[in-house]
This record gives sequence, C-alpha cells and structure tokens, in this order.
Amino acid sequence: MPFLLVWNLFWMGATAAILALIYHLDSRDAAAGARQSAGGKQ
Amino acid sequence: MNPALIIIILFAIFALAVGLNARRGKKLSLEQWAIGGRGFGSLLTFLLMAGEAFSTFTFLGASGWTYSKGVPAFYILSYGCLAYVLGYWMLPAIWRHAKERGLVSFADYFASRYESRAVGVLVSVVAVLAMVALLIIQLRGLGIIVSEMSYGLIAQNTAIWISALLMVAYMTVSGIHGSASIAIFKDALILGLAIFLGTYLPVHYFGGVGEMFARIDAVHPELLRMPEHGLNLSWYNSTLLLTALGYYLYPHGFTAVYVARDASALRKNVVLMPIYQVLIAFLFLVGFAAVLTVHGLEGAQTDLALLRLVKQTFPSWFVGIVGGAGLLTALVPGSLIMLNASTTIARNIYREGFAPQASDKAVARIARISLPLFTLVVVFFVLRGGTTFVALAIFSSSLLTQLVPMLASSFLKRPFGTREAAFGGIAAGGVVLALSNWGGMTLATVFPNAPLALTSINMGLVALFSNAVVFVAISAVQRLLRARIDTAVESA
Repeated sequence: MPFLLVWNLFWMGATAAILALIYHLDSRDAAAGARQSAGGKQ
Repeated sequence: MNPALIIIILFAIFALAVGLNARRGKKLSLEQWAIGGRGFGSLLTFLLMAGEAFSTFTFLGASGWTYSKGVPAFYILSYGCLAYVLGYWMLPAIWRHAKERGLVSFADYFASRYESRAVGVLVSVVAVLAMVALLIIQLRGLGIIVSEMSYGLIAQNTAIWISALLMVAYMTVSGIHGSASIAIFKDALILGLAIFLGTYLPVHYFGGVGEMFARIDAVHPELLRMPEHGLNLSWYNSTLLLTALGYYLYPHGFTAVYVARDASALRKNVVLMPIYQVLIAFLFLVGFAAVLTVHGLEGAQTDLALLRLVKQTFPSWFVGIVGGAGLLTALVPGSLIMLNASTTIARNIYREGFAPQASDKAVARIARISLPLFTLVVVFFVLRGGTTFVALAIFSSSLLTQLVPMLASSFLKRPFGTREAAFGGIAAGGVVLALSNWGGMTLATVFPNAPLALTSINMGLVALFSNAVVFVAISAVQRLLRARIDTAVESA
C-alpha cells in the first residue's frame, strides 16, 4: 500500500484519538465547573 | 424493465416520500425551515455535516482522481483531518455567536461580527456564486450516476431535471428536516457500500490489496509516486492547506453548525469525523482497482471509473443500488445548498440590500420563492456543460476561502479587522484568482527563475495570502489613524 495512504490513515486515527481525549478533559472540566458553581450558590 | 432502472426509480420515490414526510408535526418558521430551530442532537448534526462532506465530488472524484492521477488524490483524505482540529475550537464559537444573535444564514455571521450590512451583502454575493458552482457539481454528478447506472435508459438531462424538481418539492415543504431525514439512509448506505467495494474489488480482481498494488507498480509505477512536476508535493501541501482552511466555509456546511442543540454536539461531531472519513480510503482502493480493469477513460470521463467497474463486475440489481446510493449522495448536499442559497438571497440580499423593513414572514416567503428560481438558474448552467468535478470544487473552494481572514479575525476578543479591510482583502484575493483562472497567470510566469517547490504552490493559496496581507494592512492603518484622531480630539 502506498506510504502516503498509510501515513494519512495513521494521522486520521491519531487525530480522532487526540480530539476524543481533549473532549473528555473538556467535559470533565465543564462538569467540575458546574458542580463548583452549584455548590457556591448553596 | 431493467432491474437497475426500477431500483433507481424506487430510490427517487423513497427520497421524495421521506423528504416530504419530514415536515409532519412541525410548524415551519424561517428558523425551523432553514436550521431546524437549533434543536438537532449529536447524531442529526453529524449526519448533516457528514452529508455535506461526503458528496458526489467524493463519490466520483476520489475514485476518478485515483484512477487518473494516483497518489496526489490522497489530498482529499488529508485536508479533513487538519480541518477537524481547527473545527474543534472554531465551531462552538460560531454556534454560540449564532445562537446569541439568532443568525440563520451564512452571511448573517459575517454581517453580525463586522456590524455591517454591506459586509453581509458582499459575503452573500460570494456565497451565492460559489453555491451555483457547488450545485452544478452535485447535479452534474447526479446526472452522470443515474444515466450510467440505468444503462443509459435515463438521459443525463432527464435525471438532472427530475432530481432538481424532487429536491425543490421536498425542500420547499420540509426545509432542512427533509435533508436530515434522507441523510440518515444515505450515510448508512454509502458507508456499507464504500467498505464493501473497497475490500471486495481488489480481492476479486487481484487476490488482495497488496497484490493489486504490486501489479499497479509493475504496469503504472507513476501512479504510486508523487510526480516531480504539476501535482507534486508542493502542490499537494498547498492544496491541502487551502482546502483545510476553507473546509468550514462552504455555506451549507457552515450553517449546519447552527442546527446543533448545544456546543457539545459539535465537538462530538468533530471527534467522529476523522473516523468517518476513512471510508474515502476505500474509494481510493476502488479507483486503484479500476486502473488495470477499466480501460479507455480519458479526461473528464475518468470520474466514471467507479461506476464502470461496478457495472462490469456486479449484476444489474446491485448496479441499481449503487446508482440509488449515488442519487442520495447528490440529493443531501444538493438540497442543503439550495436551502442555504435561498435563505441567503432572502435574508442578506433582499432584506439587507433592498428592503430593511421587510418582516420575518415576508423574508420566509421570499426564501421559499427563491429556492426554485435559484435551482432553475443552476440547472440552466448544468445543461450548458463545462469542466470536471475537482477543478470546479477547487475553484469554488478558493473563492469561499477568501473569507478566511475575516473569519479568523472574528474570533479575536479585541476586534482587529475592519469592514473596509474585508472588502479590500476579498478584492485582492479575487483579482489574483481571476488572473489565474482567466489570465493564465501562475507563479512560474511571475517568477520564471523561482524553484519548482515555489512555482507549484496552488494559486488559491497565493490569492488567500494576498487577501490576508491586504486585510491586515488596511485594518492596521485604520486602527492607527483612528487612535491618532482620538488622541488629537482628546488633547484639543
């Protein structure tokens, strides 16, 4: 298989994995922020 | 009657029924009609954005370019990846602004960010022109697919007329809900077909993917190597950058962002898109499989590689299914383009340009009237003939990509770009594009002694660079002058 095709497929997988990780961290931070502000209101 | 023809007709009837039925139970204001009332969850947002990304350009162009040009076609796979990384941060920002201000059309965003009706009209004109080109690509692709897969029993022009009428019918009635409902079936079907064809055809004809590449390497080694001239590495990288920057500037893709219920739906969509795009790699395999098995395709005909290979390999009923899938592949982005063009004409050209006092109801009426008229104009251009898919797509992408400096500046917390700079930048980029497209200007003619790596750069990127320089220069001068005037007034 041409190297450039394999290279592209590798980076597509890597991009999806990195973005999924960032999404997970962002969601966790947003949930923590929401909990904190809800606690502050009480 | 030919089984392929019956199946294609059934697909068309099915699309019309699903599209019309999508309206059931909904009262359609302009916001509901054009952007689904901003209530689409992750799945529907994904299907709409994937529908926009996977059009007839991908269906025919990816395999056709691989068949005729080989490795340079891989740029189609690469640019999405780069665009999704930008999209992860860009799309939620666009969505938030659109929700806060109640934006509906593509040009609304720029008019709102630059607080200028004139900018809205300018962007609308660029967008509508580009959408003419984009719909031409979809309709021409659709004509080719239906005519080819019905074994010539339906003429291209007949297929284009029928499909255009079909889209007009369900889009006028259901708006974006029609597109979204068809996208569900289209994406599932195309995913299954691309994976099946990309794995089955190399095994069927060569015994495996490795064996197929070994055979191509022996007969056509040039297809597996990046050429030194023309579509070389420099062209590849510059085209990749250009198309990635312009990826979200297709009006129908941009407004698909507005439909999302929340920013999280958009982020999830961006995470999934690189995986979805892998199916393009399967279409490359189909293109490579056609290299040694489909003979005699030259020039624009190379776009037929996938269809001819399917026809010579499978029975008529399966040919009909591929033809039907191709039909849906054109209908989803095609109808989204029509919807966006009509919304832009009504909101930004009619109201912003001529009738600022027009009510929302009047604008919605104009949008519904514009939809068939816009389609009629495009059908006229399609029937007159022209260039191939990829050349058209690159040109319209270049035209829309001229909005990148304006978009980038809109994300800054402290406003920098001015509306005058926006006009100046687009004019500069437009001049370079016009000289390149109609004047035959290339970097090689301007710099005859420059190295090949420089002269092979895509002219669209050169136009964008000129645009960005003018945009920044005019904005900087205006800000400087304004600061001086303010200081002078204060000291007086």
